[in-house]
Amino acid sequence: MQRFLGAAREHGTNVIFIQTIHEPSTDSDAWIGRRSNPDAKNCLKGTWGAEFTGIAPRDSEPVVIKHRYSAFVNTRLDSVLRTLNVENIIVLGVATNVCVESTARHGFMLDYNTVFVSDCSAGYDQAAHDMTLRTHAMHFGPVATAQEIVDTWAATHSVAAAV
Amino acid sequence: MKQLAELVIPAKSAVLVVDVQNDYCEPEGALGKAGLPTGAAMAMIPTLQAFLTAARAAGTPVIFIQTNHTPETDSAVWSWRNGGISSAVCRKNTWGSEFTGVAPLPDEPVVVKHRYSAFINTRLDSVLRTLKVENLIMTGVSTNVCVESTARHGYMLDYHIVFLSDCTAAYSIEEHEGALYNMRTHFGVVAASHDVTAVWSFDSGSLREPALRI
Repeated sequence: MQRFLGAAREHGTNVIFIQTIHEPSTDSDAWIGRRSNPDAKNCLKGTWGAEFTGIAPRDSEPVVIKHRYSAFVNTRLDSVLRTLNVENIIVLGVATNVCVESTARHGFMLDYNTVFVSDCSAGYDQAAHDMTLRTHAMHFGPVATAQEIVDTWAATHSVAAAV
Repeated sequence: MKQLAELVIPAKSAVLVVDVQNDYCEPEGALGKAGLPTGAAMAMIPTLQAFLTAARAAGTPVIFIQTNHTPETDSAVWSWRNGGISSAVCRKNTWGSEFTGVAPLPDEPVVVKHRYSAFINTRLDSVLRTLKVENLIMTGVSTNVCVESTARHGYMLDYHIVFLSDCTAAYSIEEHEGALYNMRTHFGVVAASHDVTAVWSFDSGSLREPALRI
């Protein structure tokens, strides 16, 4: 992922960071009450757990804060992308089948061409990771490796954003 | 952590019937003709029919979701990705877009959609808020595409999700099971229809204990 982001920046593709921040003001009953929701107890505002690891936004790169799985739910992401005139989003991160998949599904349904980077996403269950890629390829958009995308950049220059 | 019984209280819940339409279910529909196996969808419909009868008897609202594709929502992104398949599926006012096996009663809302999630640029959220719905009971096809996309979206809009394993169907068992895994792990409760109807019949005076406590 670090190498892919380096290539994206080198080729002038926008990089946007999505950061989950949970706090009482968005801990709704549905969110907290879903079984013993482990997803509700992480990335608490102001904690080390919410900080980026291994990668970090540059000064000019937008960070969009979210509080649900999809980065489009009640966030400014769509405005940021429209401002950049982005038509294509390249999604990567964790977890493949939860936040990345929810964001990819949502983005496609808001009319962004959506490319899912198979080797820059990871989950906690291999079967779930694989099923996400299969569902995406079949119904939502292309699935590609980082190398395939970098090779394409090397051959052409297109307007896109890596999310 | 809520019990299943709390998540299906008729006054606070609604059954969403997603895309049970000829083109998605019938062997002669567009996807069947394209070679996708519709057997699981057709086999699921009698279970769904019985569940809807129980929902109506219990006073739980039933809302039908109907995909209608039209030129004005065939965006470039939508049309490009699937190689134009959507231009042949569930076109407005065709046999393929009609419901199959199930149908709304005169007072049951039909929400028309044009993307996978029934919340994308539709009136569904308004319909649910008007009914004061807090819990969505998910049924329909296909499990991992339109039903899962709608359930994911609904949960993130703060509805509790009860996803029915035997009133949904996909075009492969792997896709069906994959969706159920995601639902139970990250989005809500997965239950069989008899788990829900058992709660309803218990609440309406039956001596039978609910089959499942979650």
